[in-house]
Amino acid sequence: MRKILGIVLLVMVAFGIATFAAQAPLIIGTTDRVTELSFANSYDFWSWHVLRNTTGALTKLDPQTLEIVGDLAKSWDISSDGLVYTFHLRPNLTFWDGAPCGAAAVKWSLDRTIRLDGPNGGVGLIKPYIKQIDVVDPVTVKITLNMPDAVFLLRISSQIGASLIYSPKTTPADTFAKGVYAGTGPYKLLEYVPDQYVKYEAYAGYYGPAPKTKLVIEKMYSDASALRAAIEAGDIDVAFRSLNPQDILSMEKEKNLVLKVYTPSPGIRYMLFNVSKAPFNNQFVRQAITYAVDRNQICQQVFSGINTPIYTMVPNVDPPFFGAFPSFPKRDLAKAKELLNEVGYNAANPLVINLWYTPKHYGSTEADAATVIKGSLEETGVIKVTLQSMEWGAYTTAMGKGRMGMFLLGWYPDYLEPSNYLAPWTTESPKSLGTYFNEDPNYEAYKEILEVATSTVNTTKRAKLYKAIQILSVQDVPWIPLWAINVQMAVATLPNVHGATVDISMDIHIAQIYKE
Amino acid sequence: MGGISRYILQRLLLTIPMLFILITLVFIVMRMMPGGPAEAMLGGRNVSLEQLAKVRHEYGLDRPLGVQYLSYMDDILHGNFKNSVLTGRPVLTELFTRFPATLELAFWGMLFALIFGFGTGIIASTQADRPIDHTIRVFHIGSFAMPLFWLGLMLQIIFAVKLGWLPVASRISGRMAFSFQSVTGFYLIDALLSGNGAIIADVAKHLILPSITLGFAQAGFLGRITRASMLEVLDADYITTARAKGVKERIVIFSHALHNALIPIVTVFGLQFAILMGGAILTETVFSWPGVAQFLVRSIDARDFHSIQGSIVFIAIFISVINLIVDVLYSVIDPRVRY
Repeated sequence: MRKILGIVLLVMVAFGIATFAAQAPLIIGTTDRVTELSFANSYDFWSWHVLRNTTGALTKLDPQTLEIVGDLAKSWDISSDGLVYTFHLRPNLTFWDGAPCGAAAVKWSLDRTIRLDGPNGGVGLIKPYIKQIDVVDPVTVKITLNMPDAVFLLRISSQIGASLIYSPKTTPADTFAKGVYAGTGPYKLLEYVPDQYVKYEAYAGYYGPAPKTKLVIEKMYSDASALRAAIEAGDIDVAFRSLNPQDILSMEKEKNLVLKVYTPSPGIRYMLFNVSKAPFNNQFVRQAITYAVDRNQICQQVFSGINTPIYTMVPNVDPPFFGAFPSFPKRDLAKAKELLNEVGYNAANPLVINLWYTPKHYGSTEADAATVIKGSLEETGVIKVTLQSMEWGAYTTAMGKGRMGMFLLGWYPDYLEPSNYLAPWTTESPKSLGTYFNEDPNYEAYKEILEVATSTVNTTKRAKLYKAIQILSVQDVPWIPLWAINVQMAVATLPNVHGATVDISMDIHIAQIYKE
Repeated sequence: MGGISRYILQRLLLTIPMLFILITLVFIVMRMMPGGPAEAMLGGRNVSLEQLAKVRHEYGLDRPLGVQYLSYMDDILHGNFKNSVLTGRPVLTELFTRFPATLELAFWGMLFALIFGFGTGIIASTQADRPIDHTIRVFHIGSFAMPLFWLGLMLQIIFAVKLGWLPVASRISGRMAFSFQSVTGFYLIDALLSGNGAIIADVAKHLILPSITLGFAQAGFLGRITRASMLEVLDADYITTARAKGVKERIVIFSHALHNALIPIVTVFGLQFAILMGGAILTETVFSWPGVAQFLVRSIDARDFHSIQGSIVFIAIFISVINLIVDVLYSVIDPRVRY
């Protein structure tokens, strides 16, 4: 009798633990912040992360295959001229406020987002391309473009916050949503408390597989050391964005934590030149710096080997980054000296330059990285570098006004395609990004190649055009690709947590994370 | 109108020019700094100069400085602190959302400082120049010499990471947040109102480390002042008389001496509140405490002019009110003080 009672008790306890575990919320810690939960005015990582975990878009990136697949749309047709996209929606889609998500809601959402077009800039990723949106029938919507766009399926995907679809029933029609909206799931947004947390609950009406954890909370920490302490103390289950390189190394050795860095990262760091400003208006000077910079030393000394050197701006992942071509040369001090001698610089008449960096925006390691770069350039014996720094607001102002000749910057892609790594500094925003490449003799060639590439649907042809730009850039050197930001791809979890993988979009999918 | 009411009114009226000067100074300093909110927000992104100009226009930053200033003053006089460029929400909403967190932390930090500062100061004064006095002196000097940032980190590592007794940071644990709804913004009051013991314990545990960190330096300072003030009073003739009359030492200390030693202590307490707000910036950062101070730091990084100006005015009003309360308290503590 005692045995039976014991077994019953054990089963009850086990059942109780299992039930508690199933109901216990998943706690994700981050140092990122939500700025504004508005489809028409958000343009930052964590705001988009929250929005895309609570609603869908017409298409999405498959985290396994990295191909664009249907999200709210189950299929689509593209007209032969590449100007008309007809999307066929999944039947019986609903928002969590009970309203149906059909063609009318898709048109209403996208029209509203484009009309409101907030100052933060995210809508600019879709607005110039969309001419008109029409409802064909309750589950069919037709989008007509202003110009053929080879990456339109990416632009209209859930990667872009402005492309997400939301309910006309709940979302205010004429003002920014600011957290007041209803989506299609997988989660519904329960509460957002600024600088504190975001609470989610699984939406039972989600069309896809049910989220593996019903309740999720994302807690905001002020810095990487607090985030590390929180996961070590067991206050959170997952620590994601952003851990320090040194913390990542030491956490890898901790037995009560699981730490993974999902490389390669699509986030990159690079050096830019204002090609109109002396002495950087001389391409031999820029080429010499390319040969002198020591990427390995930066990655080892500053990032403990977690970040890795890169030799092209385009991440080497195919798909979605077909056409990556590591074309920049490895370090060669003799070649650097030779080039500098050719243009009249030598030990007696050194090249005296400033290297600008911003001390906080890219984390606390920035000054160290700039110091290592300075050291590696000065190893030539022909270059003298003075480090200069400015806070982010002042830095970007000086950049836009062309005051900085050589400076460090970072890039997190707006969408996952090579053009987003090649066009911004050369043809799209050369002034605001400080390269003034519009004054370079080869500017028109870049413009023509990139214009053809972004309207070429055939990926093989497009890849060739992107390779051409990468080869050209080695001669013109508007940029020097330096390292991939792998630390942003690090995620630490408690041992009983599974599914917290970071994909090429640099994000985790909270619907796939669960605790044992 | 009674004397005290007239005094309060006078002080409130004096606050107006002080705020006017402060707003003007902050406005000028912010505009002198290189870079603006549009550049901080969109800089480094794939946006054209035209788009940057559009944003500057949208926030009125392309108008002449004089026009911007007059417009801002006009808005403030109408109670409009404008929208935060950082979050898109009204600055006042942002401040009122975060202010309870700062006030709650400041209250418990100050309470800790009072209990420890006062207690140790009194003990030190009654045991003057004995070993216990020297030990307390080391504690006092050490407490305000210790960097607040470092102290917070050490407390986190010892009590949260190593011992696991207390949470690392924030105001409530993720597990409890689903059963908790804040009504007043003061989490401890909300927790008490909920009547849920687990939530009360959780919120209280979250308050311990930040309160100690914030109050530690103040405790040392208050302790030094209490000791000095008490020693001065303990030497007075009326204390000697009281002792000669056989009044119990406890009554001599707490009733006769302490009461008369309070004026300088209360003065320092009022001034310490301003310093406490400075300390709150570090404490809120270390403990991820979502208060006004942390919002101010983020706003400065983002060159969010509206939020910076609003936050500073808000903090200035708060400190003015605290100092006014302290001044009014004088008349309660010391009957000789009359307004």
